[in-house]
Amino acid sequence: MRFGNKLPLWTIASLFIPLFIIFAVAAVFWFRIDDSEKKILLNILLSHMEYLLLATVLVMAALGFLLNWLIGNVIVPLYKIVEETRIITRANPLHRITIKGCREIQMLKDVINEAAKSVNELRDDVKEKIMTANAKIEEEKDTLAALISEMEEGVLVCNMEGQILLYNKSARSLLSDRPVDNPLVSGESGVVGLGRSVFAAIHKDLIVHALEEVLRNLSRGNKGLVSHLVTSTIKNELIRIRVVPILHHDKRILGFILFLYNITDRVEMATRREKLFNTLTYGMRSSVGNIRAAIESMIDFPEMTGENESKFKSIIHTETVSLTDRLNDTVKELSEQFKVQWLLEKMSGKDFLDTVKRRAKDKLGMELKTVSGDNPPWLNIESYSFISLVMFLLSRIKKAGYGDIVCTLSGCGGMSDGEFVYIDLEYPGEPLDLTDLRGGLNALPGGRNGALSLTFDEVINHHDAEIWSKPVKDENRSHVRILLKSTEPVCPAGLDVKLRQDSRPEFYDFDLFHQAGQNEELDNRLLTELNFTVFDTETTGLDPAAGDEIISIGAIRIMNGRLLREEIFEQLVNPRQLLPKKTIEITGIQPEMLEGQPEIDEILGIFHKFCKNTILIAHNAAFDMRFLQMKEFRTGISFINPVLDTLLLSAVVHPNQESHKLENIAARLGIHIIGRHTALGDAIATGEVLLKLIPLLAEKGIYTLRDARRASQDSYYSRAKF
Amino acid sequence: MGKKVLIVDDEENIVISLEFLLTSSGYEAISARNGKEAYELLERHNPDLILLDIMLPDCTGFEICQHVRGNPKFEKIKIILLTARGMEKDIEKGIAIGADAYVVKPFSTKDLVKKINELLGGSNEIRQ
Repeated sequence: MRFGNKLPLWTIASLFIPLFIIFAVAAVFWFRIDDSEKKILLNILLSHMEYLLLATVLVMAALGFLLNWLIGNVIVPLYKIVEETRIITRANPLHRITIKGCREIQMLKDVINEAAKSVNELRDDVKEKIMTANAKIEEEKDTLAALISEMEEGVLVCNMEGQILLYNKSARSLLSDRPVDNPLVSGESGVVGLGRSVFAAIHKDLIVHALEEVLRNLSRGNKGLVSHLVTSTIKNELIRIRVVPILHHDKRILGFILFLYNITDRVEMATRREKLFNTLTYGMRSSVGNIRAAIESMIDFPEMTGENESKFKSIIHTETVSLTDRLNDTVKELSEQFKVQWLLEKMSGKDFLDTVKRRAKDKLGMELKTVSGDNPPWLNIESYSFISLVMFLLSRIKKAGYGDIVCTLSGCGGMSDGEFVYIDLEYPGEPLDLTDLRGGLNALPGGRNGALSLTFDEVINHHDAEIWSKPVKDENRSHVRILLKSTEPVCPAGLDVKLRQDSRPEFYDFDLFHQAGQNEELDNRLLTELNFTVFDTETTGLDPAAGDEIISIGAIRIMNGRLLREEIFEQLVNPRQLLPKKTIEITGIQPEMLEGQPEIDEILGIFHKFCKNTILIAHNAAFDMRFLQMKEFRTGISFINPVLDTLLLSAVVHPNQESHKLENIAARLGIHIIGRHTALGDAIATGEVLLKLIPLLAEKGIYTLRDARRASQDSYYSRAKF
Repeated sequence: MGKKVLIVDDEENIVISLEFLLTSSGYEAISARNGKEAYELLERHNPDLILLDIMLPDCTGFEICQHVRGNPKFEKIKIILLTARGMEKDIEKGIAIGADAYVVKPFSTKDLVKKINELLGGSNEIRQ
């Protein structure tokens, strides 16, 4: 409670209690003296009434002055010291008390500040030790994060309520209801996100069926605890899902992991191949049948007339042309399909030569000389198998008794120079006989188990390469030459940026495994357990009733006490009206930035979806909610989520602080705002404020949503109208 | 006598047809069944054009093509790769190592003669 609210009570008590005591003593005295004494005393008092009144007024003034001094220099500062000490201990350890008051109050303030400084130093020391310990954990977490984020398969980890606890970019891309990089709407309002229900993307019955199968196997003691299912996505792509349970040590299922594979292409390819096969076989049977009938007729009836012979010749010609066309079409179609079969990687020519040189020394004890131009071409190879093949050739040359081998990488110099390269293994001696390798079924040496499981021909064919061994002209030297297609160089910087910023999954602490179900009464749930959407709007003005409109919405989600920086919504909105100069100055949003942006009616639906099943949080929420509610009738979109206001919550926690503006609260709680007066910047700051306020609310016995809503309503500021 | 064309192919039937086609079109045709024979005939006859199959028993047509292109003595020889391998990648490869043209089996005889005429600067047509 604010001390200001108690001031009238204190004033009355301080002034009238002493007067009451004086009058009480006087009354007792009056009743103990006899009538003659009373008469004399009354005469004296009446004749000197002015002195009596003057004395009363002076006493009252002295008491008032003393009281004012006491309140201003002792009592109010004490209240503030209590609040600010709590800020230091609960929210911002760097905060220091700066307060006016009497000497004793100043001494108390100095002692608390000194204590805060000592505690802070101690805390920094502990923090440093914790950070060192955490660094190792973070490193392991990053490794796991990088692994999962770069997986081609989609990965979703869910608790038993179906809430998503972890996902990677592939999963979000596979299950999104629109392209990930939609230029129109920049917010991440797709169906996959931390804390959202997986059942919005994959039908619940499918998952339940899979988990039942897992449970059945578990109860029978079977080993196969993985279940598979196939379904289609919102985008009509076919996905295969592997459902893996997460088991507690007592065999309870805590949650499940879904591995998602897009099999659309594979199924389409199988369909195309089947169609190709049918076209080829049916078509060929038909044409070959016609040719055979015509030829056999000509052989069996050599005496046929010239007219018939011409007819049969025409049939044979027509059918062979038809066969040729069909074959050409088939080959063309197959060429397209073969292109996607092997996953070749780009490798710089320099890296290739360096690796070959190093391996030749390590494996064969050979000092290999390597030659390439200033700018060696890049190769498109499966590096392990291809380098194993080169090593195999080197070992054959060595076995034939030749040394002094030079490995050269050069452009092939033909009409398509630059597109193909020669890899030459040149040595003094006779050409190597490669005929026994062609069509050979023996696996190449290499690999961990001593064999690569690929034959010489397979490696050559998979790389679309050619190989031969020839004498080198005018010299007593020979070479083994490999003809291989080159490729465009890779820019490594681009890949790195993508890895670090774009595809890192959002990790979660998995406490949600134990979170109560979504159907529990929200009001009874702890603030620390709730999911929030913190949002802010920028508008053309302050009065929606007078036609002011939203020009920007920014929002971020909070789950389990964490701001989810991948779960953001940020969208400019075309207000279809001129922007006032002041609005441009405050928000920095220029009119041309809003041209071509969607209108609010279009955005509200998407934002509504983003907020689903969460508590709405805003600073001065009444203002923002009013703008949303003004559109309710026209759009039919109603925001019925519970709402909390950080302005009111701050007033609940710190009733004696004069300002509850966002920047002042942030400064008080040690939060640095980036992007003030941008919708997203303010939403993030509001989110950080809320996270700092939650433990301070708990100090005051406010734990649940119901507690917070009631305290907000009781707060002085809740009476303000916007 | 017309210009000399070396046919390098191990399939007897196609060699018969090509020899007939070329002689009918006014060219002198000689043929080899494998790489070894091809190198011998190349040295002995120095032909004007080679019809070169890619899949040979002892080597590939790419190898012979590259050998011809790497030898100044044969710089005027035109090369047509003639093969049943019709993949785009093979065509690219053939052109990259210096073949002048690429014809996929089965082919139109008229188109083949037209292509040979273009490369040799002649105007021989199939005699009807």
